[in-house]
Amino acid sequence: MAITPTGSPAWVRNADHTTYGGDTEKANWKGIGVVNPKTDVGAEAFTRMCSDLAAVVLTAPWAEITLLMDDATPDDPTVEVCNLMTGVRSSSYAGGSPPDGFPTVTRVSDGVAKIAFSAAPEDPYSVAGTLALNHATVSVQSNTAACATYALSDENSDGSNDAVTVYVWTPSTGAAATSKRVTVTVY
Amino acid sequence: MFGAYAPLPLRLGDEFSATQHARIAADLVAAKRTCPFAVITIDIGASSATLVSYTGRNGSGADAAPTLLYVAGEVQLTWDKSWLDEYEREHVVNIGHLDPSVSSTTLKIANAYKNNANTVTVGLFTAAGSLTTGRVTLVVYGSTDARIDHYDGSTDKHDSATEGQEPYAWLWYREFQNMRGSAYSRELYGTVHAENLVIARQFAAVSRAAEKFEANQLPGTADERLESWQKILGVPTIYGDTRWDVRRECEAHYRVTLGNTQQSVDDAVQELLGDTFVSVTRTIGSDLDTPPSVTEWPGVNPGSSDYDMGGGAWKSVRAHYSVTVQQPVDLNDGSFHRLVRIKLYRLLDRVLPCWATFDWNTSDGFVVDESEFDFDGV
Repeated sequence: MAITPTGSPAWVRNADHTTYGGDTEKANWKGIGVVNPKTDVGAEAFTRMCSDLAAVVLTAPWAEITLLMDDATPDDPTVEVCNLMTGVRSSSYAGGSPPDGFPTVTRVSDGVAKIAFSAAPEDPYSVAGTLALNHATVSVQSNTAACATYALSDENSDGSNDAVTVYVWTPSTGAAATSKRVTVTVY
Repeated sequence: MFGAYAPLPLRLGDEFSATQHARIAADLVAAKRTCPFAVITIDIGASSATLVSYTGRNGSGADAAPTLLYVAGEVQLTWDKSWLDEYEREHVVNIGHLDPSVSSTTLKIANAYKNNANTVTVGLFTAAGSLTTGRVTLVVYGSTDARIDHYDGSTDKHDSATEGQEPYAWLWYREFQNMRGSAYSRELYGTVHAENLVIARQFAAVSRAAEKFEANQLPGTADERLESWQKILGVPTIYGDTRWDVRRECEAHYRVTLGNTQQSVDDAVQELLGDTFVSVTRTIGSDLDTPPSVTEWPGVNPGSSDYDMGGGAWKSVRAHYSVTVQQPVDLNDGSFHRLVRIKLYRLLDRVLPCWATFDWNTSDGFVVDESEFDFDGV
């Protein structure tokens, strides 16, 4: 029988130490420490693990994506590397035809691309969690001056942001910078 | 082992192995080192700043967010110097890196800089370089290190030979079921089950106590008596040491109580240094009649009179014990120097004969101007 983990997947960001079995009253049974430190994990270390994991899960990025825009053809960007909490893909794919579980990346206009994620991704135990994006950072990989901004959006109108649009600019002119390689980190 | 038959501490074995635990500890350390400390989005207005969203290792929402201070178009974010987690453990805020971004459909540029360990300033600019208003996201990274021993990890961890497959409580539980015989229920619920379980856990504690007694006979596997071993072996505690550090140092000192042969001294040094150890060098010379260079003795190769304690100076590199070390990437400067300058010295000073000298070196040359306070030198 498949087990269902406690709590919600990491990207829901509602986990605390108790989700992982932590408890401020947790103690080794009968108050006696480890039997053999080379074979045992004590209550103190276990609760530390729970607490630190809960802290890390709060700020770990949901996704890190590097994509190459194609404003010359024009066509949807190519996703070169995609790290999600649910999986990592190091081989590129056409943004408009994503493999299962990976985001759709479409060209909006020159220097503008939208990355749309699944609204409720699933963890390895098939537990779904609503994606609610709150922050993003964007940077441009380029040997000429360029910068980027972002905007979050709620594509399925469920009240939670599940997409991010990236805008790439040429600072000196204020115009869109075309066909740039961009790294986006989403939280 | 988990559940009612296997109360904490966790005994590593079939259901949760030492290798799995090691992976958890290693990956958690890795994630903790590079994960952000906090991610915050704020709106910078014409005369004030507003928090939009905050998630940090210290919590989420306005209660955990830093205070915002609008200063001439920029915003200063100040966190408390430290915060307490659910277990009342204090974590010091020590900001290392900043990564700002702009949330906007028009061109704006965000910059951020660090004021001190718990304060940063962020500003939003137009392409022309003027301060402007808008929404900024700032990712803040701390410089907090983590170690596997925080999670009871250690490189010498292994599965339990006693409870790795079946916990004591389960063995005792079956024993009590058999003792009671077929007249008593064998269902895993009800009064009889509860009685059997309680008594089984009590007897399991006795079995564990016997195993614990045996484990505490040696410093390498001691826990409750580790402080006693420190006293016996004369190993003081240094601030910042984890129990694994103390255990390893005690084990190293214990090894040479069995006799300071060349092998036991080398083994003790390797035990103490772990990944820091590279090699040991003894300069013997080709044979006893052919001493290595820099050997000085009266009448043959007199040395400096400064070293004459009566009868001339006697010096030989045969009496020198040299330890080559390296600093692993996951060992910070303070811990490394504590290990090679204090602990290694303490061990070798104790185990080598009084006529021997010793020192440590790194294989890539010599080191100058090492600051005890980790300041930059030459």
